[in-house]
Amino acid sequence: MSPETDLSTEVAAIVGATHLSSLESDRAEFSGLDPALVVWPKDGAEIAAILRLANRRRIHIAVRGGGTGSPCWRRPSSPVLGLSTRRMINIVELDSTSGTVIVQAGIRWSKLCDALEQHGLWTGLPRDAFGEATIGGLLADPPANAHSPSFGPLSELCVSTTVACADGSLLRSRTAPRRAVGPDVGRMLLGDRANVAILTELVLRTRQRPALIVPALQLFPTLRDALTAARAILQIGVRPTMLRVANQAQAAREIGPQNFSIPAVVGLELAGPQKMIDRALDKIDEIAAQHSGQTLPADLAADWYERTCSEYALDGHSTRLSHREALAAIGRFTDAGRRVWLDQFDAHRVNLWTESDEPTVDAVAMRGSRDDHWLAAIKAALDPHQVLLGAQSIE
Amino acid sequence: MNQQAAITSAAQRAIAALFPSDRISADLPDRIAYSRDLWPRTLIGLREGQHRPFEPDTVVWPVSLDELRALIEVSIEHRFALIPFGGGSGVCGGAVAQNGGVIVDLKRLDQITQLCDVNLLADVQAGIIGQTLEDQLNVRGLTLGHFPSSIRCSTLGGWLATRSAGQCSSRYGKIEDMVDSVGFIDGTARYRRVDRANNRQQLEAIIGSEGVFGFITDATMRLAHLPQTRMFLAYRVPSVERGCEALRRILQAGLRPAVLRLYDELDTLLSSPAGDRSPSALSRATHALTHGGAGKALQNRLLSTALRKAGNLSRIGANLADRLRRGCLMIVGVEGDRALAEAEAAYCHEQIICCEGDRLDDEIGISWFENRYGVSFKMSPLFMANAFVDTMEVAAPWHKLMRVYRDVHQALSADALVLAHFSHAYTDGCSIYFTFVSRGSDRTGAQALYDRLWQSALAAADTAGAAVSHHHGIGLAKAEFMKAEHGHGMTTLRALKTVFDPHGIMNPGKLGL
Repeated sequence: MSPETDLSTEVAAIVGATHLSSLESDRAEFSGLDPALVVWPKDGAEIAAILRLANRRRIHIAVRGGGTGSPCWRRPSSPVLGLSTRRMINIVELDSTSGTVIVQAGIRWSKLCDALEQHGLWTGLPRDAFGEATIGGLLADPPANAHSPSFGPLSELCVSTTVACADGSLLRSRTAPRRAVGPDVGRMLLGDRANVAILTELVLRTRQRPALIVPALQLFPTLRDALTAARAILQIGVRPTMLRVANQAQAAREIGPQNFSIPAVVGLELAGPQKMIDRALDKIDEIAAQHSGQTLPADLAADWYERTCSEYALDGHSTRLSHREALAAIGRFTDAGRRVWLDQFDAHRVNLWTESDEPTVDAVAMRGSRDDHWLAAIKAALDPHQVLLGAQSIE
Repeated sequence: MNQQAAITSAAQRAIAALFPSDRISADLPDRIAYSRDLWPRTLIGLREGQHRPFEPDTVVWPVSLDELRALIEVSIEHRFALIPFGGGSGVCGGAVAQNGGVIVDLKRLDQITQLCDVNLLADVQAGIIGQTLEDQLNVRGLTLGHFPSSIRCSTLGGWLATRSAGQCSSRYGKIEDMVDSVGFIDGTARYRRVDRANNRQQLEAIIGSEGVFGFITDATMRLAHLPQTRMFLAYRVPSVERGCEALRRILQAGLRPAVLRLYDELDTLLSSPAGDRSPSALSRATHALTHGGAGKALQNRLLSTALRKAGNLSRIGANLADRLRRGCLMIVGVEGDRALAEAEAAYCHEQIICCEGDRLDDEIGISWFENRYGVSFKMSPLFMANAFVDTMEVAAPWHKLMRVYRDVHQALSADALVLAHFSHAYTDGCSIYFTFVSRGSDRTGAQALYDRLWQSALAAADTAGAAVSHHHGIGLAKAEFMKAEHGHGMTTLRALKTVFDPHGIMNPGKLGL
């Protein structure tokens, strides 16, 4: 019996013989790794059992969700088992009182949004934002556009987690709106890129889908005016569910050709009770006027909204900056030919996007860096046999 | 290193070499002053002469990160514990020297080092007192938006170390929502700058760590403009259930009023009329008894009788509540831009009316606001009357909240007078803040009863599905419930401890580590 066959037998004993494969086509999904086997567990308990097996046999595990990301697995010398969450697609429980939903990590974003909509719920982020990505993948390695000015970053959706730790134990964090019980271990493992644990199940907070969702579009003479107005809108307490600022080149793409000049725009989505939206729109108009802005017609705003939501996916390179840094940075992008836009706003910071990976300034110098030393120490403590091959390995 | 030996004379000399004489003390008055925080269990002993429950060997007041780093290196060499100390207002024994060691009072690190009113971000040292910080921000037209009742005697570092919450948390969030980055010196004397954008995992590990990994030395905090307007509304709702329904509707509609407070029937009953909202539980009880028509002498007799046996308090309270059926008081506070705040107030009003709320005089809300910090400073009369009082704040999803309320209430009420209010609401759940008053025959009996009440209440909360703390933290008081709260997550916490504090010098015993 070859070692691979022996491994197959042991893995089959955990997940069942029909839920693993050594076919080239399945192994190819783990590009560059060439795993000996690919396995499709049905839940966290099976993942934990596989991890215990991996520790015992000193093999590695690489995790794949929806396949929409670009993992940078380090290719190890010892065998690799590819683990896909494609069977873990269930909504386990939906509680309409708390507005929480328990989902398996392999459910795709679009399916989750569709299921929530049937119950009158939503996440506050566009359905098309992350398409076929899985919720587990999104929370393990959040994309740069995963943020709403009203709801915060994507991780704010997550109330609690169940993870399979590298040692093969299952860790379920308490479901409570907020806690003060030491470090938040569950949230600490979000963004981990499967380096010390695998997300298996998540409790997500949702919102009642508001009766009213209103887009609004404001025209500004300069990108600087637009950005300053956007900041003022947030800092006065208006909380749009989407906020974007675009320069002329990007605005042409988002709005389409018009018979008037559009140097810069601020686009917003507002959701909630009618009276709240009305007051917010009044306030936005007032602030726009203070910065030489003007409100564009509702049909243009609706068109912009539809186009932006359906083309929400990433198509540029972003840097997270403070508002002051962003104001300084956009000075370099007065050339109308180059697309520049800003989103993922809060009252303090914003993502600056450019269409290519050219330097978003001094922005690179402004931003901090990931503390790999700390992450490596944590991995050494929690995954001493280096069983998990993180989607972005820690050196 | 849970069992520290007393600090050696060599260690004392090494510490003394780091600090000028006016910023180090091993004098008895200082060791007594720093031998406890505001954990009520230690107050029970205090009235019977137990003045120094957790006496440190030395107290130091560093003024720089270099001094802190040097102190850590000496601590590693001589193997003694370091206990970070802010305002000392914690109520869980989180800042005490359980087995000796050095109390490190950080209040000399108290500067706002940078403030940007474009980004609304401020770099602040951790030892600044909350009210001082707020006052300095207010001068610039800014606010942190964090208003715990301890604001006059707690520090920014203490807030971050315990995941504190303020009275306007619905609008501004808890302290962990307000922090952009922290500066942190771990137990190896390494300084780290940990930011939200790039190192969120590490930030989640440091916030709430109660000093067991190192010292939070400074932080970049998110600010807001001072509100243009602030207004309060008050209501009476028929029950806790209907009141919670109103809170939930408001939050789930996407609104964020600054203040949402719902008092249960007994807490409402013991609340004084508008304009005279006396905050201590004892004075509220006294006031209620007086309002029942009793004269001063009768009131004293009633109180004396009530306090003679713990269960009497609860029975008297329950009887009064049942007889008067005054329902539950709810206070709503909105602030910010005037037009937006007015719209928010109007929507809140609609939702509360839908839940059978009756509008009361706005003065009740204004009175609450004016007296909002009082409660933390007026509990002494109860202890002087040989009773004790403590508070317990738990949090749960909405669908579990009523069970948590009933079960914890029941667990406490056989031996204590129990009041509760709901004051930190979220889209998916809420915190319940229980106040319980009781007494034992003597110190030993009181502390035994106190421990038993905590045990049964936390067990009830845990079984009902609540987090055992929403914003007070763990300290020593709830350490043994960490396993129930985190389960296998304790392995992760222990791993963090070995990474940040491999020598085990930092605040031993807290968080169950």
